[in-house]
Amino acid sequence: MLTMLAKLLKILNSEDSPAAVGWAISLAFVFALLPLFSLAKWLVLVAVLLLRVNLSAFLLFSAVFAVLAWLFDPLLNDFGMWLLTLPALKDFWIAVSQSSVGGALALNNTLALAALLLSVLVLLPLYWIGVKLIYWYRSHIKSRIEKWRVVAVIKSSKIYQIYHSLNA
Amino acid sequence: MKIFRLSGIALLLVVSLLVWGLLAFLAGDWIERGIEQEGSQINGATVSVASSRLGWWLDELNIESLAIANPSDLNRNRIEVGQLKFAVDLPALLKQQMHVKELIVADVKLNQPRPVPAQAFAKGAYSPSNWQWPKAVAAEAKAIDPSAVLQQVDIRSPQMFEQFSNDLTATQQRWEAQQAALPDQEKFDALKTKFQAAQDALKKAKGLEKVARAKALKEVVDEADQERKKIAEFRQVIKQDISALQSRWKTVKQQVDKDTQLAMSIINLTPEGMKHLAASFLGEDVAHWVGLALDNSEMLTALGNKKSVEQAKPTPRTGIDVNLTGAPPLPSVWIKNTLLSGDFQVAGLRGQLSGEAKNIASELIAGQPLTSNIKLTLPAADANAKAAQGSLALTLKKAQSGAALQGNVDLSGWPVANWSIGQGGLNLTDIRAQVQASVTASEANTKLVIDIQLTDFKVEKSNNLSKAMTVFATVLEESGVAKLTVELNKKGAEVDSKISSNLDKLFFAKIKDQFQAKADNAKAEIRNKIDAQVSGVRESITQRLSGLANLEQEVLAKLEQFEQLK
Repeated sequence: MLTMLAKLLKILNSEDSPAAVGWAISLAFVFALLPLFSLAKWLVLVAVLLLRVNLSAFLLFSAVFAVLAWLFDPLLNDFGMWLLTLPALKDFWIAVSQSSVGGALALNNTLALAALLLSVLVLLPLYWIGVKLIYWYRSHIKSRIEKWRVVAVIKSSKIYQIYHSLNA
Repeated sequence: MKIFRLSGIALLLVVSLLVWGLLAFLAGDWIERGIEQEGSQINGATVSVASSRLGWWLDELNIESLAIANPSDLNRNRIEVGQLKFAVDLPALLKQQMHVKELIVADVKLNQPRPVPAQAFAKGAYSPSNWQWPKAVAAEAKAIDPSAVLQQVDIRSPQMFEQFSNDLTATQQRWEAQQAALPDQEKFDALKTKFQAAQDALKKAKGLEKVARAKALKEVVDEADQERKKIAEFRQVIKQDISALQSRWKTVKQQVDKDTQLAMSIINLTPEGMKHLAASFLGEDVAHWVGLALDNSEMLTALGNKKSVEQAKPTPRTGIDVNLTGAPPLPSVWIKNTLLSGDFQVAGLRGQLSGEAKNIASELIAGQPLTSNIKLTLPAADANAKAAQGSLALTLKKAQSGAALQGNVDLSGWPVANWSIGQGGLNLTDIRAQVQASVTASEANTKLVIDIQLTDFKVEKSNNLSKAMTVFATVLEESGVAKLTVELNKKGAEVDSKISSNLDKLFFAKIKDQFQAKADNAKAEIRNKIDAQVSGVRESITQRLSGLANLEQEVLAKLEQFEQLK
């Protein structure tokens, strides 16, 4: 728990741009939400590696959002099932799922479809919220948290020193 | 600020390598475990794989040394395959489905000994046949149980005896009714008194009075004559009835003999019945293959009964694949095309194998029948001999009710090292076999026809052969050709079997004398059984029939009484 907190603080206090951390948070959400058999999940991973996204933040938030995704699994399934069984959209889903892209994205799957739609919907808002939160943290909270005893302990620990020196 | 980072490419490579490594090792492991666990349950005994590895490009799976144990003999493998190689559909694999476009099978060995005994597993989708052939047929042919035989025969004696007894009672009741209408002793005495009085009056009468008295006497005589006629008519009826009853009684008694003959005709002590004995001796070695064919037919047709249930509740992180087009759902395991080639080894024979199979799947797919066409070639033993050929053709398709299976096996000039007869006491060796077998099966019915012809064999006998088997050995030596035809029709748990051989009549001719005494004993035993069933009724009828003669005497005495009144 302490390690996780330390990582979070490290990310928040890093000199990385808030945009890099913001993208990491939103892409971690998308990555965690999508199932293994959707090509989109692997495209997100490639994007994270190639683009200047904060990797530590991505890994941390992927783990956090994976728990959330597991909890929201039933809701996503219900939403996906509702969409896929809408009579008005039947022909559209048939056409989409029979296309090569639709097949690769597994769009006839309740979870893959719902997760992809939700990801598209929340990607930019989550990025924007993430950036705003980083700005707000760095201008209002950072100085106060650095005075916490636990932070002082972490910063004085040998592991942190090594970690810091490696990143320097 | 630059959007891309160069180190990302290195990272991508590292991650790709990690994913590749995980898939290459874990997917291979997962497939290996899947084959071993699922396969063992389907087979009913251990299915093992030496190694399973995904190819460098993650698109090809290589399985080495697949061994499928024989559930009936855990010390042997039914099939061993040296190598299985196939292209994997990775997206399907990520959904835990095994879809294979093309499977390559090389080096097949059948019925090989195992280094370690296999473990037995409870079978799931179908129940194996528990019908034992030809032991059941042979045992039936050898043993005679009169009670069991009589249960199979429509024995009419007891019913006929009972019916005769009832008819006799009815006749007696009719007679009693008719007898009641006849003049009794009182009537006779009254008429006699009247007759004597009229006679006396006539003697005493004088002149014209005599005419009147004579007229009165005549009236009495006429009255007595009418009563006498009634008695005479009744006597005639009794005589006719007794004659008819006695004639029928003779026929009824003969029915016991007829029933005995009928029972004898169904046991295996007649030329017709004896053929089952000869053919079953010859067919003991086929039992394993018949059982295997029945079991596998049932296993294959069971594939048609598996219902692809739409997943109602998804497992975590899998979701539900919605069937948008209404196309039949795909099975979890589906090998679209299988190519077989390479060496083939069975029972010490080595040859070449080639062929293909289509749509091998965990359940049948509508419109995509499972088909296989396999050819086997064994090299000729010497320059004068011909190479042995074998073929196996199979079609299994989804029908409206379950599955429809049609299979044919054809072997020509096939070398068979050993053919055991009479539980090992008698063996044929160095045989050439021609085999034609066909199986037609559906959910309700399995029909199997096997024609086997054995030639060029040597007969080996042990020293302690029974008399019958010694004779059978002679028949085999003299004949030089042994033909066996097996026809099985299995409906549910009932199996109707017909087996015959060209040796049947020859064998019967040789052993009929030895079996005659046995036949006589059986006949006497059956006769006694039937007699015991009718003995009670027979005694009662005999007593009542002798009573009928007494009645006739009584009626005759009464008739003679009335003769006095003339």
